[in-house]
Amino acid sequence: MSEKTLSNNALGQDLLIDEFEIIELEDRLELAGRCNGRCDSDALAAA
Amino acid sequence: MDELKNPQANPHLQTSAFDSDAGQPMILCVVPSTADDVRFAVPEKYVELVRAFDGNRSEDEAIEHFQNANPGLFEKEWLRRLIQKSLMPKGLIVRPDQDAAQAGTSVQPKRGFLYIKLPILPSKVVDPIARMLSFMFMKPLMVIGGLLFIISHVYVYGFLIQLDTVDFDALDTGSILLILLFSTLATMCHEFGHASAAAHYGCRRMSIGWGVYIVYTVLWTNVSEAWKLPRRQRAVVDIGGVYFESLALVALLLAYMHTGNPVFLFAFVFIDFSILTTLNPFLRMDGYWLVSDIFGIVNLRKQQTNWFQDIAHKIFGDGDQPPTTNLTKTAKRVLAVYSVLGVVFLVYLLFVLFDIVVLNVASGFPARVTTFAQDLAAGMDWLEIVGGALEIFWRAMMLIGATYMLISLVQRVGRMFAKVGALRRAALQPSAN
Repeated sequence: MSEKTLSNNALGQDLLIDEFEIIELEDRLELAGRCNGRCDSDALAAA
Repeated sequence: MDELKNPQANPHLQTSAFDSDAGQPMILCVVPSTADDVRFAVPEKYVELVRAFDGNRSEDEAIEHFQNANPGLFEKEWLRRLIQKSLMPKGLIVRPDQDAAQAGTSVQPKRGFLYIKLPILPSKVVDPIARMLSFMFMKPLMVIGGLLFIISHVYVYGFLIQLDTVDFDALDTGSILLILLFSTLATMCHEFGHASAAAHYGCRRMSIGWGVYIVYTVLWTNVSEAWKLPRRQRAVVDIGGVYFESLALVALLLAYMHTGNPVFLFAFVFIDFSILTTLNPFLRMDGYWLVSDIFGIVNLRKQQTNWFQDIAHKIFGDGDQPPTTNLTKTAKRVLAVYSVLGVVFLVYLLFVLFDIVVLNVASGFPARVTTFAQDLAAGMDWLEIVGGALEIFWRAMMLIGATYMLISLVQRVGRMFAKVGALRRAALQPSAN
């Protein structure tokens, strides 16, 4: 395998897209932040 | 390469049309694995090749069958590489001696993009509740919900806050803990909003958990089954959280109007801040999925990295590397704008992290812990103990998250330089093919 092919393969691994354009779909984690830090007295005073 | 004996298309493979803005038609392939299902977006032609593996044909015969149906499209050796390097390792095609029900392999970390990921409610709890609440996504109810959102916000920010009745300093420990509790409950409503929207469109196997993302402690809902939905429905799943959370806001407003207790009003404002944060498209929250689904760019963050790598190829490579982003022109333009703004946001985030985490949280952390321990020894009531412990806990989470992010960032920059170096060496090397 040429160095060029090797570098292309390495590119795809952490991108979930391989050299054949097959994409592993990310887990759909729908996040929502809770207010915590902003609720401490310092943040409240700053607000 | 060795000849394979009677490989076949995975009999457990589920396929459906995949709605994205890719440059060619894509099929969603769901492959079972030892853990959760693994999902791939696969060019339509490859799925045709997979189906040529009926268990009776050898690899050569399946390739020949495919080539006869698609003359001149792919070379035989290239197809063989596709099969052995991608379709078989991913479990789309299986060997006769392989357990097809566990053949899927994933390269994603189990915790996804979270630094800490803990499940709280399994799908056997979430699914029935989500199905029960899915009626809330009937159009007339959604319109009413939208109107309530607007009216409640106009009333709070146009009238109540303007009256100058809000004094943040007036909050005692108990009130702060109450706000924390309301915020957590509202966030749980938010997560059930996503799950109920997904259930409305027939998705199952959803779970809810807790985690740390950058410096945020978050709740999450796994709605991976929503990948099978059309983009518009996926977008409804994305806004389903804010929809349900805004109903929680209306409940808080009603409680304030009924009791006059300002804690409900404070909770309204703070939960609103959280909603604003989730709509930021550069954090992997609702805004991120909305942009991804509206414009049909799957794995948006990965595609962003891909886009930068394509540019690196053009600048540092030999110029003959075809682009790795498989998107339409419109999607590529959106991706370019998103990527550039994303870098600006990253720089801003690093400044904020330094300002809040390093200058404020980290520097004051030892003293805070010491003071808490001394107060604890001197005697505190339970409310102060809980309040103090929570303050230390979220600060610790923030420090862990920021440290992890900085380490990850340094590693990424290191890998980027290594890749640029590899590209430069490859560009100088005479072509081996």
